[in-house]
Amino acid sequence: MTDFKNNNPFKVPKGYFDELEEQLCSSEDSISKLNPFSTPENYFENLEDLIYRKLHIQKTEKKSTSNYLLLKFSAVAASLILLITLFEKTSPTELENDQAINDFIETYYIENFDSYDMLSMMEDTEIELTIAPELKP
Amino acid sequence: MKFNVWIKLLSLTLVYLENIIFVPNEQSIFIKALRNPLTKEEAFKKLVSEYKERLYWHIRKLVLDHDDAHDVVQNTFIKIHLNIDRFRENSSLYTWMYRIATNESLNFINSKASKMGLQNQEWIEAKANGLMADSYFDGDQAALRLQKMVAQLPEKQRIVFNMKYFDNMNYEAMSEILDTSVGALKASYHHAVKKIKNELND
Repeated sequence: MTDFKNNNPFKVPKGYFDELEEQLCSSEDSISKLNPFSTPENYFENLEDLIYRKLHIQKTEKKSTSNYLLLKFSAVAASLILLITLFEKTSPTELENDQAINDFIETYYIENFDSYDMLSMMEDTEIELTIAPELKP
Repeated sequence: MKFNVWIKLLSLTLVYLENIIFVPNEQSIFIKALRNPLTKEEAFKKLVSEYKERLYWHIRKLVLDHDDAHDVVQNTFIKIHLNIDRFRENSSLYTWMYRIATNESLNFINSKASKMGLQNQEWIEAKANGLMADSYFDGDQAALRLQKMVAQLPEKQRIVFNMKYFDNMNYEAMSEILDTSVGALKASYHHAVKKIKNELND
């Protein structure tokens, strides 16, 4: 059995192992050709610049966005402060009441008012003060 | 001796000990340069110059179209630049970048497909079917057929097949990039090859 093991009955063509290296190298070439995709000319040379440019734009955009957000927040805060100040002084119901009274005066009193009505609403002293200079001889 | 002098001496000793005990390797020196605001730009240029082609080809094989690959590769490098501080150094920088490139490619496909109301695989198949009209596709009919078959594979199998068959990447590196066990990757590759062989025999 040991004799059988040590005896290699197989043979290879002459110069086979010398050519094998060449064959393997050429098969590597054919593997690299498996990539059927290509790129525009000088693409990789220009890619770096394009990446830096995009990165720079992103940084600028980020900065301007944060400035814009700050401005936006300031505007909202200022508006809120203004509204709170206004609402503290006059409540909405007070504002509505004032408006209703003004409307009533404009539509009713101004249209239907004559001097008698006006006199009836005035105190005696007020009448005297209003009319007195004209009545004085 | 004053308290401040003692503190200074102590911190210098700590730095000295740190340098003796933890000898920084080439990668950690490079990452430090990428994180330092003074050296960041220069180091980033070196990084782009070294990895641009490898990352581009990985992305290109996933998205198929040159213009799409161009968009994704730019976004990948921008993400790398913005997130370098978050890199935890428990893997190599290259596998971390490869992972970002893979995720960016998949997100890109996802967003393009959903905008067109398609499934991701339908979108990829449509891209593969249009390859012959692509001016940056130099393959023959056999290469086109192979690309169409690869496009029909499920997403994971497609990624694994591309990385193993075209890039000849080892399973350990793929495992780090895709966060999947070596066994699962081998199974995915085996299934992918089997499907393609069956298709070719038909």
